[in-house]
Amino acid sequence: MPDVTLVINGQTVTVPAGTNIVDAARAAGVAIPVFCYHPRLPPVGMCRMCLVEVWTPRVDPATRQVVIGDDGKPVMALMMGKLQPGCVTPVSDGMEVRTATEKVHVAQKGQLEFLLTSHPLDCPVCDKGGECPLQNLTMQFGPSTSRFDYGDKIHFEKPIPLGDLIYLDRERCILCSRCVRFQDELAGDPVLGFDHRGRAWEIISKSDPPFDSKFSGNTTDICPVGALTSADFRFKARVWEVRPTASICPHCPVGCNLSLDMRHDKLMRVMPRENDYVNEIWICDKGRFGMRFIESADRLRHPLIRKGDSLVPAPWDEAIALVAEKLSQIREHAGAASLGGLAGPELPNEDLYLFQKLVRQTLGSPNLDCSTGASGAPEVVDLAATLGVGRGTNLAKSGAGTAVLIMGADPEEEAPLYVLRLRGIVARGGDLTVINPYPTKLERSAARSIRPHAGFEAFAALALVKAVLDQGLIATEFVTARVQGLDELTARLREQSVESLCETAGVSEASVRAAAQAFATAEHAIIIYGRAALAAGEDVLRALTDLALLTGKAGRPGSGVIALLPGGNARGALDMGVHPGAGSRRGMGAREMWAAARDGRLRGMIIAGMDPARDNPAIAAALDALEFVVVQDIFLTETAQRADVVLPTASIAGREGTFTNAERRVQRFRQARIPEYNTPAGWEVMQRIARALPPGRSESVTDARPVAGRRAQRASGATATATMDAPPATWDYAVASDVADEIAATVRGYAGTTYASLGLTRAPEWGRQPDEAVYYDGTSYQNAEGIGIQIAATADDPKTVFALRARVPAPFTRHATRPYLLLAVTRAYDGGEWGRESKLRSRMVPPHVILSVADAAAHSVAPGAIVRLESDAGRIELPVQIEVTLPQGLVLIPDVCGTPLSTIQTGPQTWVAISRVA
Amino acid sequence: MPPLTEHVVLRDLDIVNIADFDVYLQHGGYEALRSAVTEHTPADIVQVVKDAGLRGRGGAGFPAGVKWGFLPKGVYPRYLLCNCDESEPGTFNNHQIIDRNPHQLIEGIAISAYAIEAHTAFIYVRGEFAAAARGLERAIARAYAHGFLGKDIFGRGYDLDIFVHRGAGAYICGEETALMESLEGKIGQPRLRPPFPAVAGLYGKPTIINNVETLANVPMIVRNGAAWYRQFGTEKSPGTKVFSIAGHVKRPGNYEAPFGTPLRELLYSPDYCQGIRGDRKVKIVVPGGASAGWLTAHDLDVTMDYEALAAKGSMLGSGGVIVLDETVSAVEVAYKMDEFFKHESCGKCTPCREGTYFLVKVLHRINHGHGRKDDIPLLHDVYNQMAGNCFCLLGESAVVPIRSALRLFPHEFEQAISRAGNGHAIPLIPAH
Amino acid sequence: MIGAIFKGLGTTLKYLFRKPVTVEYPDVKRPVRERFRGRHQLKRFANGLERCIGCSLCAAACPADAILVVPAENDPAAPHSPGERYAARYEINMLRCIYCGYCEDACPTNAIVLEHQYEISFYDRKSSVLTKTELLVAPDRGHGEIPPILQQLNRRPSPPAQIDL
Repeated sequence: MPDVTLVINGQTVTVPAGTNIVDAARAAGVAIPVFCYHPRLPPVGMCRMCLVEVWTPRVDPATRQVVIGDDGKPVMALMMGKLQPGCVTPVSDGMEVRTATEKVHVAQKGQLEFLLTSHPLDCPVCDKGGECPLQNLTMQFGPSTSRFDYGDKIHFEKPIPLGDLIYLDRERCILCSRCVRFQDELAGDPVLGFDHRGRAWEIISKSDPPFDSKFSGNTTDICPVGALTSADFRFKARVWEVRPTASICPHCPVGCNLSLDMRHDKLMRVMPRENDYVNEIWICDKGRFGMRFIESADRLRHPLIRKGDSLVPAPWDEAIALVAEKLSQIREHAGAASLGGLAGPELPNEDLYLFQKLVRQTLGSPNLDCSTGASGAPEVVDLAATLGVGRGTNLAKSGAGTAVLIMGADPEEEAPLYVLRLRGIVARGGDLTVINPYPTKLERSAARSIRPHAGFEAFAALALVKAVLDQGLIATEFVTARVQGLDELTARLREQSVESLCETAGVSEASVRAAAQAFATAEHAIIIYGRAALAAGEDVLRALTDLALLTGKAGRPGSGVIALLPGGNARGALDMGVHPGAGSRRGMGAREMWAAARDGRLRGMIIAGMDPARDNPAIAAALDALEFVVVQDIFLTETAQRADVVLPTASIAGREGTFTNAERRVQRFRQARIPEYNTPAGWEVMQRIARALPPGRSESVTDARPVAGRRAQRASGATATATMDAPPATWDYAVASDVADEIAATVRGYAGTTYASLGLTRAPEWGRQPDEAVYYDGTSYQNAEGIGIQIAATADDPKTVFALRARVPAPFTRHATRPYLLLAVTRAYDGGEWGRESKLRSRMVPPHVILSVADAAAHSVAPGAIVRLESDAGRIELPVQIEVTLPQGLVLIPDVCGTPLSTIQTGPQTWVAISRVA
Repeated sequence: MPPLTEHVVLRDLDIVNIADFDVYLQHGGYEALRSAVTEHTPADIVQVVKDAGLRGRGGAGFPAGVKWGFLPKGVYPRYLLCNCDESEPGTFNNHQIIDRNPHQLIEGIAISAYAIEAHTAFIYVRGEFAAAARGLERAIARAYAHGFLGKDIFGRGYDLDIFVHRGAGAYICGEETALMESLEGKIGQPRLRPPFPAVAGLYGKPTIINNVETLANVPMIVRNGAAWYRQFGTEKSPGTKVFSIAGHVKRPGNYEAPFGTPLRELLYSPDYCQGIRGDRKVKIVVPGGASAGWLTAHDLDVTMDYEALAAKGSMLGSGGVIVLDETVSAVEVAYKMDEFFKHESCGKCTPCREGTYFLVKVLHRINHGHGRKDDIPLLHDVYNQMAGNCFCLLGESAVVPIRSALRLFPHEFEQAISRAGNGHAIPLIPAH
Repeated sequence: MIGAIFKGLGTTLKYLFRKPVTVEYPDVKRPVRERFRGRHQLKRFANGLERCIGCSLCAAACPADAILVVPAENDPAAPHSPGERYAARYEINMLRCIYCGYCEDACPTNAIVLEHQYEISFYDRKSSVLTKTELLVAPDRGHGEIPPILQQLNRRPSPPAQIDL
């Protein structure tokens, strides 16, 4: 777009055409006061606060020429003869904007006087007081006294709950519609609206349950007054009393930048921290309201040791000594391979790294995993390390020219903030294709939604590859330089046609071809896959790999793959080597470990930050069969209850560390408070155990470093591996940054991710202009604590070469007697331990099964009725919910706490029969 | 200017029962539509209307033919909206047209839709006109039955559907963009302009919106030609206008008169209102609905056309002439009018939502004998903070009555306040 | 020198018959000035509701950081104070307090007042922190009516009716 040069208060600025005057003034460092305008929202021009004088060169109506005055300069005219709202007036060449004239001041003062006529002025009790744009602008631009009778003010009942998380105070509302527009345009959940008119105009919730959105908390941030306040922070503290601490959300792979606002070591509220690369200025409700668990009274306070049937508190030294003794005993008697370790994908990199070092190097066992290994849980296969989005990707800047393909994922549940990011890409002109076997909310924003039959996703993915081959959409340069096996792939797919593949998958050929076309011809393209893709098996990921490779959408900024893996730090867990394939010899994965535990090959286990026994009797039985189990967690989970030693640990508020998000951005979180109950950080526990262990034969892991050829080969496969140099054998870490330094030194790709460099903000590159409190006050915290470092994917190295590996999936056969395909789906509000003490408790869904309308009718069940699901593995009974848009023959079970999924699942996809119980 | 011998729009006054389909047909009904569709191209019709100088009767007086020419080329579908949300106080001519002469409107809509190549037209009828709207629907049904509407009109492959939509009682829905919002099923509030409706209007498509009276003129122009039409009225305001004259006149009602008829003639001529009730003096004349600036007895010689009224600082607006005699209080009139605007403010923009409320609070206390010394400068400040700063014209209109009242009758405000006797300053938040 | 002695005795003699300026504290307590700033009190309204609404502005104004306020939400059925908010905890550390009176200036409801009591001594540091119960005046010692700005909690206007005047 051509640039436009204009003058603002005598200052000449050049901005892109189409910029509005407020943004142009921001660029010039001139703050124009606003209420309804927000830099992250499309403008509407309702509040009339941004009125400015706009002078344009006078144009002679007859000649259409600019009139030149006697002094040789264009004669300027006030646009439309009156003040113009800066937020909706686009800039034009030769324009002159004056924001500080008498006329403008009168208008600004007037608008503030008007706004305050119906504002209750209860600032002393208002939660927004102190970070309130209305307060700030009144101080700066407003009248000092009101000429409106106090007794004439309008009163409303205050406050009314707008849903159980957000309260609305209609007296304070200045009707700027920021919240309504955020919900409509950014979040895509149009659940808020207006009612009545004139002075009685008010915000209402249109949904049932009220304000049913995963992003509702953001409306309290962008509200320029205290009209929307969160139930979570209601009357907890004044905003100037809190101490904001930079943190990272541990709940999902987005890795939103948070601020934990502490007062006297108590968490008052959670606020977003701006980071354009990750979350802009938004966070989802799970991050905002789901952090209360850190102060739960149920937290583990002391180490527990099993004495008979009960776990009794014990001193740390005793517990550690016992762990060390038992582990070394098992190692001596049964060999290191009879030990195993599981670490959860919510743990920080420091914990995961030392966990891996303890198990693999110090104890000498290759049996490590970061998944629960439940029968239904899909194998975590990961393309993001190899073909992940290129270094320097910023989704907030992606727009026109970017195509996004979502394959088997429901971002709203698996990584909610991606909904905002992807909708932003669409709003900026990007293209979005959603391929998912069941309906998701993001479909509404997509250019095309392709719904393959469940189980046939691989055919749909292969159809995309075939369409790319057919339509000649191959990026020749990239393929010649970096891809092997094109001829073999063409040969493998010779027998296939896009038409037949689409027919098998049950999708329209035209939309698949359009998706392939959009994906291949876009300048940048991003593939996002998640749980449903993982459940569909490896063939899907092979096809996706080839799609990215053939179209050259890898290894550069703005293109590549994003994997939505469960847990906030699954990426880090894989990178840190908490993975059976990461070492020199392959160990047992979680699933193999449970089998080994049952038949006695596995004798002892360390489980950190994971609860595999939850809702899973088989794993619980396997745990019981083990000789010795040590669990490190923050709550007494099902798994911890079966442990021989339970070691408490600090939550993310009580320690510091780093997470790696789905886009491989390593981000640092700070310690917000002294550790709750003086519990140590997880890495400290690992160090204590390691130091207490008697020296044994330690396995050398030097050969974990792969040779270049092997690495390329492995990288091309669907299974990614973290490659790392041999860590030093010493255990000598004083602070978390010592661990981080060792990670930077040994884990490939993490070089340079020291705490010091993670704390840099690289200010000129992004972020706010000076004096932007006018736009952002109360909205989010400016990021002064570091935006993290995006580490390179394998493909970012232009020398890496990949092999094409897509293959024709085996024919997918339906079960003879069990006609329904059961898929477990992720729910963001899953009832897990993170939800303790949270206001989101009421949003947690109880266990249920989702049927399509036709299937429910076939079994004549109404919502709430109980049905029995029967598979080869077992049977369960669950209440029914009916989903209108669900395809027939598909049964969804939300994977929430209390759902005995494992008793029925035979694999990621399970064939079931349905019968009505009541 | 002599009164009309034959009406152009209010033909129900000349022809008995013209609302009846057969009567309308007997008097040359739908002939203009036939000739337009069968003999002319859409561009011809636009040119005729342009040549006739037909100006929009909704208030702004923008030439209809020019407006039709703003449609972007090659963008379809297009929509024609007929604005029958006649909510301007003192205006009631649209109601008479749709009630007594609906077929002329339907024919006008059909010709205009043909001219702008629209295949769907909507008539947005004010919610209170329930009976008239039903009559309009019956009339449309007759036109459909005779093939004047619907598919393949006169066998020339031109399709047109007309829908009648009743509003739910909001003044703001007479504003063209708010009307579109309302028609789309949203809350009736004005949209941001640009884009203008001709570019992106109803459902984001190019849309032409015209007043009932404007469209009712079209059949007569097409039938009789531009030159015939230009014999009425003035050079810049050709044609006739239906004036709705209400208030303290002896014979209020709708009068169709050529543009340029002097106001005095309208009020005093035996052909029109026959003078002021009780032969009292005129005090205030509001010539174009509540949003027009006030005239006084000194201004009665003004001619009723767009230019002359604009020169007087008023406007012709919708043609609703409100006449008030010397018995009324200017304070009370200003209060009542701003009360109306306050009640009808949609709430979208701050100055209108809060400013009208503020004005009414102050006017209410002055009018009820509790005025304060500071109230007159306060009123000036408040309307100045609104003027030019509102999102749409509703807020700007609310400024007009109070500004006129304070300009023309300042002493009445002073008297009302001094009668109150207490000159105390406005108390701020009560001390405790 | 003699003269100087007599001059001194003369002064003594003169003051012997004057009213003494000293008072026999603590048996006799000297009244303080009206605007004396002594120990704080938390006031009540005439109806017994606490004046403090837990806004923390006193704590923000306090140059010695002597005040701690932890707010909470009123139960509409049994409110502590008018309005939605009250101080669940209100503490002043009298060892930190410098009696500047800024808290009094900052208070929007005239709840915190530095009264005339100046005999403030403690046996230990802990008891120097005055709690809300110690600071609050007795329920029957309230004064003043609740201002309209605070009377909104139990107001239930019907919006459209009210808005049409």
